Amino acid sequence: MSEAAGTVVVIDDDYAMRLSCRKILEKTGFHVETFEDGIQGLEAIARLKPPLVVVDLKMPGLSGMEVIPRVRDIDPLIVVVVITGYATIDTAVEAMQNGAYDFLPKPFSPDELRLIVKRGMERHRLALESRQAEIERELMRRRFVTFVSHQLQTPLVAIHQYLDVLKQLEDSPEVQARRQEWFDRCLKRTEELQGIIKDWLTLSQLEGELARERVRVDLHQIVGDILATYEQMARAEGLTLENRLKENTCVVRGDRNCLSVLFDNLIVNAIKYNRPGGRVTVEGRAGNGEVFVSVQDTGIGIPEKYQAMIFDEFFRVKGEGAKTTTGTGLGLPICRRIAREVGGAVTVESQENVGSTFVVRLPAFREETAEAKAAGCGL
Amino acid sequence: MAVQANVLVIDDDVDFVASIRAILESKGHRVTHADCGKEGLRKLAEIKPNVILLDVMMEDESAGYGVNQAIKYQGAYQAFRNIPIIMLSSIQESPDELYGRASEVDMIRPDLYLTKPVDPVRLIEVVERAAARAGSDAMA
Repeated sequence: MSEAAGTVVVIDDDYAMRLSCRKILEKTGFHVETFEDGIQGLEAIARLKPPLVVVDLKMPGLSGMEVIPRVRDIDPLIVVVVITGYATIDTAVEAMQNGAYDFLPKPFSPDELRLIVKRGMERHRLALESRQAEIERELMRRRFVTFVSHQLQTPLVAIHQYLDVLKQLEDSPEVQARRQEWFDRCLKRTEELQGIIKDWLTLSQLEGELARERVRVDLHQIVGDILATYEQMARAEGLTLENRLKENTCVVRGDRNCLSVLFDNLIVNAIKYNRPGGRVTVEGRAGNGEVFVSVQDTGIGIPEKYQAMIFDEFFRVKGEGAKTTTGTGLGLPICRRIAREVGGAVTVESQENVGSTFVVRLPAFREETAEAKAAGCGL
Repeated sequence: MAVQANVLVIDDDVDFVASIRAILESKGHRVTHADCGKEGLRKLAEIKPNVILLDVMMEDESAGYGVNQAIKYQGAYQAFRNIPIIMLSSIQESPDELYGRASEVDMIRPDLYLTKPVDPVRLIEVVERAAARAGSDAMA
């Protein structure tokens, strides 16, 4: 296989030509196989699948021009270089139209042959890489579709199974006793499914080309609004929420809704994965054209081995503390995507049973100059 | 009544397990739950089940197949190798699509494959038949 990677097949009826091609190319490090007619050459090509073929156009029997499409039938990625003794533009163009990569008019120097073969090999390498990448992308896409379907199916299956059993065992005393509990679970799972669909939509919209505003946003205000929304929920858990952001210090350019979603997700996590009587603190600073806002909790923390994975779609930490909380596994991927959209990032520092700190880095808002404004308006 | 089934359910969805437990217990079968593959393997010796219900997608995509392979082929679980394994998943996926080589597929092929949600009547049938088979194997 590794030998075939550097193999060049030369097809030429002229013995002297075959010999000189072999000498020149072997000196450059290629493995060379030579053949005196098209039929033999094609047999070898089908067997060896070489990256590159050099073929003389004018041969008795199968001509070079006829060999080209047959090589492409074997593998369209094989690069074909034609040698032509009567280098008219017309024959060269015809050969290229048939799928040849380039042509070499006789007589040619050793350097000319080497150069064209090296370029052809490079071309083959690139084509091979992009084919490989295409296959991998397709595999990823298929696996991902399977994965998303599974995530959507899971709560539905649980609900369906409960209903099936309720229908089947309607009159049994065990089921009578558990009926209420099961209905509650069905509702919970329905909410879970709705949450997944909602988050999935948000994520897809962020990926799309939706027109988003780029306006001056003071994060102090956004964070303040979000914390106010959760004040009651936090109080029920005995949590203290604190906004330490100063007005007009952490100011960015972005979409108000997207930035709200970002900080909403982080703050909800900080509340959900906290402990009774804990704190959620939002702090910020600016410098070097960037702002840094941290959302800190005093909760269960994230085991180190999971920290790299929490921004992956549908990943959820498995652990005693996380088991009881619901989540879609899409909140943090959404945060990451929003931050990246405006050239920022989200990172995490966490210690198990101590707490987690998520830091959002965003480019700071800069007053546009008159010229930039004009350019932005397309004038 | 048919042979009493002693079922080990290895599945990470507590709701799914709660509902099929009710169905199986209503027919007098015993049900033990393990919420991950590792726990399932650990409970084998303790429970000595005669049927295993195994979820395909738990912590990672292949966890279910990993458990199946361990029970069928690893020396440590030799004593449990003949317990019928019924694999369950919400998406229809054959091992032939997941794995490339035929030999790999044979290594992980379950005794039976059911798609979630499972019809309760069918589930009872399948479990009772598997338990009866395990019983006759043990006698042989």
